[in-house]
Amino acid sequence: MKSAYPPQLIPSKMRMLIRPFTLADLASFHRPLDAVARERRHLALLEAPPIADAERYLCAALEQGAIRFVAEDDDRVVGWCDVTPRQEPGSSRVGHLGMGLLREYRGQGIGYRILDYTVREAFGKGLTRIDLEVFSSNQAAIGLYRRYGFTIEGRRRKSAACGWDLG
Amino acid sequence: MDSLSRAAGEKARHVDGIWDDIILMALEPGAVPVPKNPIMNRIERQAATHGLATILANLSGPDLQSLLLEVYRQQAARRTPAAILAEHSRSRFTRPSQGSAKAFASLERLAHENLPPDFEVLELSPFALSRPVPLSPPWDRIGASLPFGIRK
Repeated sequence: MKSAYPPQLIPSKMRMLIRPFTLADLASFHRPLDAVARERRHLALLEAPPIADAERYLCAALEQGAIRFVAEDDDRVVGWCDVTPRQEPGSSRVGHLGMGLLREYRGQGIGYRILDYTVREAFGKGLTRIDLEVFSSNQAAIGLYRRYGFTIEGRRRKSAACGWDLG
Repeated sequence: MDSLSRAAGEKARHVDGIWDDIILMALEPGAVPVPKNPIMNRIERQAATHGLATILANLSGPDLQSLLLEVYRQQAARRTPAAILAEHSRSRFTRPSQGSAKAFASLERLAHENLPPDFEVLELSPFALSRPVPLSPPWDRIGASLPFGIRK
């Protein structure tokens, strides 16, 4: 994926790099996805799908114009952020955002940086709106999104049962 | 044990018993934090186009080149020779360097002497000014080309 943003080292963690995702990252990307999913607090997943399924999903998303950046520490993907354009007719300029970061990398500004890269790239490619869904108990994520500029538009009450019944 | 009972036993996210709400959030381009580069901030503000640099960066090379040529054409059309000369002496991109030309030459020679044997020194195209200029200082220093080493 051609990016307007060159890979950038995060000054406070000199081994940390934020760069566009490529399919060569699949195996490395799968590990943090699985780890965050298994926390059962942040994603609508209980665990990462099998790698073959993840590859199919990621290939399809890239073909649909998805923008995905990864945070890499010492050649290991530790987090991601993506915006996927909606496929419904009339909504192609609206993107849906998702992100995740390994627990030990949270609270260091990495989430904000990778969010910033991804959002700017998405708007630079012509999207006019980005939306997301987040569990109300995930106050850290809600705080991050609000600091960045996201606004709350609604609440779906009692929509999820702690991850066990999702999916 | 059914799934909801297991969930209730976990200290997972609850706001109402075992259930959690989903918050819907959204962002539009105007709400993106302004880039920290103050020059870009000002340019984007004056152009009233947030993300201008990103939009331009996503153009193809030929399109960007065509755009820049048009920009220069329009700028050139409304400038006088005197204004161009004055701007060159003020602009941080074109005004004469305060560094010592002799020191740069010495550094360059030293760099060449210490390059590994598998490097070749190339002379890139010299910077060409688009109009005649006096050949007395400071203009004669602008046209210097830069040496560039590549591995063979």
